[in-house]
Formats: sequence, structure tokens, C-alpha cells
Amino acid sequence: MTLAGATILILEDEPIIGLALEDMLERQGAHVLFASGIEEASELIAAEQIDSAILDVNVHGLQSYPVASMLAERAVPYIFATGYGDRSHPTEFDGIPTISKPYSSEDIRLALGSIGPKSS
Amino acid sequence: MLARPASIDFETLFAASPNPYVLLAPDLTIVTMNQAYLDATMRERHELVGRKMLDAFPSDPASESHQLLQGSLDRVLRTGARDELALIRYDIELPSGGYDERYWSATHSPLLHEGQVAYILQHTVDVTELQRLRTFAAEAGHYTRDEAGVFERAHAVQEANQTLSRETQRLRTLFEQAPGFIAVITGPELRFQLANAAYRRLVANRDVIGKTVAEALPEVVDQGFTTLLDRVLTTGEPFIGRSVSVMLGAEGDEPLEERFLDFIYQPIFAGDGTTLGVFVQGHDVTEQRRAKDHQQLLIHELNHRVKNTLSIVQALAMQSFNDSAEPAAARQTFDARLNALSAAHNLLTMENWESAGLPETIKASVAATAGANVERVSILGPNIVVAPQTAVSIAMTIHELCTNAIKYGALSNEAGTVDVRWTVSPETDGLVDLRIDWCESGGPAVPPPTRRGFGTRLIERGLSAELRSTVTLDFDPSGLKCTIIAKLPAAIE
Repeated sequence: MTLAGATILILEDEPIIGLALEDMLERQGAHVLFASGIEEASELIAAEQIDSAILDVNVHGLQSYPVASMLAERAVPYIFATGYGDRSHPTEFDGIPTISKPYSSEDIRLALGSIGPKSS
Repeated sequence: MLARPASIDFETLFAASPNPYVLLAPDLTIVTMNQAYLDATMRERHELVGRKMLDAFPSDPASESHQLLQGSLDRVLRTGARDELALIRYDIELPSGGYDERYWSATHSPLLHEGQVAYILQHTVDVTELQRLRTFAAEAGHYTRDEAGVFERAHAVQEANQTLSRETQRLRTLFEQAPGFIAVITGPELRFQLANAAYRRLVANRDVIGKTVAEALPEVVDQGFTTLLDRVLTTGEPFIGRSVSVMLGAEGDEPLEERFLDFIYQPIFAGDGTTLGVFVQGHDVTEQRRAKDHQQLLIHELNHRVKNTLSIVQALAMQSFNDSAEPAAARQTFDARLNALSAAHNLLTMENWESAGLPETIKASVAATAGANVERVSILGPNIVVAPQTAVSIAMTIHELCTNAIKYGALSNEAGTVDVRWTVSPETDGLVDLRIDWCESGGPAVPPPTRRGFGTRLIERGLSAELRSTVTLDFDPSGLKCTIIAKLPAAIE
């Protein structure tokens, strides 16, 4: 998918990493919605039209799978970003592209490219 | 020389002999005896004459005495040759009742008539006294050669028994004191025969000896251990378990406790190859297992932190070396940010990465950024601790505020000062509101920024907290005022 003009949700509890990711996406023409917690992300999903999302798996000691489920219900494609070595997600999230921190802008571009546009 | 008497009365001679004699018919009927014999046997003539020898002096037919005597007389009858009994115990019934223990030496001589045994003459000597003396001598250590042999053999057997007994005791002690647990379980019903101290400790000192496994340790049945023991008994194949989890109880209603065991179930074979039981031997490796799990957790956590830190460094590099930055200035900005991050990490490392004190975190960040200007920054607030991630974001926010003050604000001239104050609200639902006020004064007049750089955006994004934080930046001409309010857990363990 092309990022230009797309609305992308970032769920990331580390402000510095979130800012860098935001800049990375904005430079490619995307519009970024930023959430630093699960509750905030859920509110944004409910309120906004989102084309795709990048979810940190571990957010303040909680896992972001409920947010992933919300996106899946809305057929919004998303990827996981994780600082933990393991990429083993619960079965229902098998096959979701997962990038490991630290990631490059190329990693992000390729992962987002692999999930395609929202099939609405 | 004396003249030989015309007629010698052999009857008188026989009667007068001091040696005891008795004459038996071939059917062992007592025909006659002399006075010495009657004296030796403490009997009267009429009690003996006409009676069978073995009836007159009864003894248990199964006894050695009986068989020796009977055997000797039979040999004389069969062979027609003299037979001697060097020593025979033959107890004699006392006239007063009861038996007297007697030892005899006897010679059985056949009296032949036309080649047939007509009579047997028994010449017997009571050697009881001699036997008693020998026994006495043997006990005193002086024994005759034959007896010495017997005594030595007996001594050797006794010695061997004592060695075996000591060896058995040594092995028992060894088993008992072994650091690993040991038990012996036998029979198809799986009954405990032996359990050493370590095994008894493992099962909370419950009484297991003589009980079946199901009776002694009922909780292990459903965990498959009796099935496993059955299989070892049936197949004769040992079972080796590594770090096997077992829930073990205690006497009464104590809750089950998980232990991890390295163990082997070794079949015990009989001579014919059938299995008699199971030898259980192993070690409680619960502590090692927990240490390993904990270590694994720490490694996992360390990996996460390193990756997270690298991600932050990467983000800082991307922001510092953006397209518009002049290279030398960019490197300086990047260095300063790394210093602030490093200062926060130092504090966290001192607290084992569990938490950091808020005053120390702010002071360290200001010190790392402001250098000599640190004296113009006054820092005041209650001593609270914050989570590692919050500490890092506070340190980086303070760093950006400081940097901004040095470049454009109160620390950019010689006179300006900065007040950093914070307060903590009373606790509500386990959370408190932390309010940090950054207040600059005495600097040059502050124009609102024309471009919002990374620093400003980072400050505005607020603290990494479980709930949203709010940040207000007031570009007051008298000095920048920044207020950060964040909800934090009331207490960090």
C-alpha cells in the first residue's frame, strides 16, 4: 500500500520511539494518529477512519491484542512491533507481520506493504 | 611265681573288674553286666537284665546319641568286627528323675560262635568329667587340636558375620545420609521397603515404610507416578526423569507444593530375571529449576530493555540527524541526548532497574545537560519513586527543556534562573497525579517558536505513563512555563 494520504494509527508507549516513527511515516506522506496506551488507541479506532496500524505488543505491561481484535473486526490491516525477541502471538494473530525493535523505515515500509490496503 | 589256679572263676573276675561291662545278645537284649556298669549307669541289675539296650536307656531315635550307639552296634553285628565310639554323649536318667548329661567312650567287641556274633561286649568309660575339663580348657583358650579346628571355624564364621554386619550397617548409613533421595519399592502392590532421610524430607516426613505408594502418597497416583512404577515393574525397563514436576503434599490438609525432580526408577531383578521391585534414586532440583527460570526471565527482560534502548537511541539519532540539521550541531545534539539517556540509565541500574527516585532523576538530567549552569536551576519536591520507563521519559523531557533554556531561554544569558517544582496529589484508586512545573525567569524575552522541533514535540507528548498525561507549554515573554500532569501508580513496589 502507498503511505501517501493514508491514516495510520501508532500504538507505542515509548514517546521518543513513537515520535521517530511518526516522523518516518509523515515524511512518506501519511497522516498519523498517535496513542500511548490501549485505552487511547481503542478510542481512536472507534472515532476515526483508519487505513492501517502499527501496534507495539507490550504497552505499559499489557498486551495490545484487544486493540488488534478491534482492528480485525473493522477489517483494518495492521502489523505488530515488538521489543521482545519472541514473535509467538496467540493463534488468532498467527500470520500478522511482526517487526522487531529496533526497526528501520524500510522494515516498516515493507511490512505495511505486505498487508495491503483496507479491504472495505 | 604263683601257681595258676586250677579253675579260674571268670564270672567273679567279670564282676570284680573296675571297668564297666555289659553283655548284649544280637537282638541287643541286655544279658548281663558287672557292678562297675551298674555304678556308672546308676541302675539296679533287675532293671536292666532282659531289656533291650535302647529301651533300658531311652533316647530320642532322631538324636545324634541314639544314632551313634545304634550305628556302632549294627556295624558290629554286620561286620563281626570291633567298633569304637571315641566320644558319645548319652544322657542317663537319674533315679530321682530328669536326665544327667553324660559323655562316654565305648568299645563294642563281638563274641563269635561259629563265625556268627553270639554276643556283643560293651566296654564303656564315663568321660563326662574329662569332657567338662576339655570344655573348661577350651573356654580358657587351651583346647585340643580337634576342638581347636572347630573353634577356629566357629570363630572365622563369627568374624565373617561381624564383617557383614558392619558392612550392612555402613551401607545403611550411606543410604541414609546420601544427599539424593533413595527408596526401595517392591511387589506389584508397590510397597515401600526403604526410604532414606532425603526421601522422607521430600515427602514431608510422612510414614511410608510398609505402605503402598497409593496409601503413603495418594496425591501422586493421579499424576501418573504409580503407572510409571507399574510400567518399570512390568517391562523391566528403567525410567529416567529430568526436572519432572510433581505436586507433593504433607500430612493433613496442607496444600500441595510443586517440586522439580531428577530421578531414576531402576528395576530390581531376582536371580531368574523377574522384577522384584523398583529402586528409586534422585535429586530435588527445584531450586536450580527456579533459579534457571528466574535467569531466563532476566535474560528475556534484559533483551527487551536492550532492544528498547537501542530503539530509543535509533529514534534520537534519526531526530538529531534529520535533513535540516547542520552536521556538527546535529552530532552535539545527539551526544547531549545520549548523555541524558545514559544518566537516567545509571540511576535505574543502581536500583536494579526496578524504579528511580524522582528528585535524583531530575537532578541527574539537569546536571548532564546544563553543566556549569546547574547552580541556576533550583529543584524542589517530595521524594517519590517512579517506574523505569517513566523515569527515562522524565529525564528526556527535562533534557529537552534544559536544552531549550540553554539555547533560547533563561540559561542562555548570565542571569536567568529555572525553578523546577513538583507536587503529588492524594491517592485515588491507587493512582496519584504528579504535577511538575518548569518555570524560567530572568532570561531574554521568549518569542513563541516558529517551528516545532523534536524537542518541543517530545515535551508536548508528555510522560510515558499508563494513563495520558497532559502538558501545557506557555511561552510567556518573562520566561517559558511548562506544566506536566501525569497519573502514576501511587506506590512502586
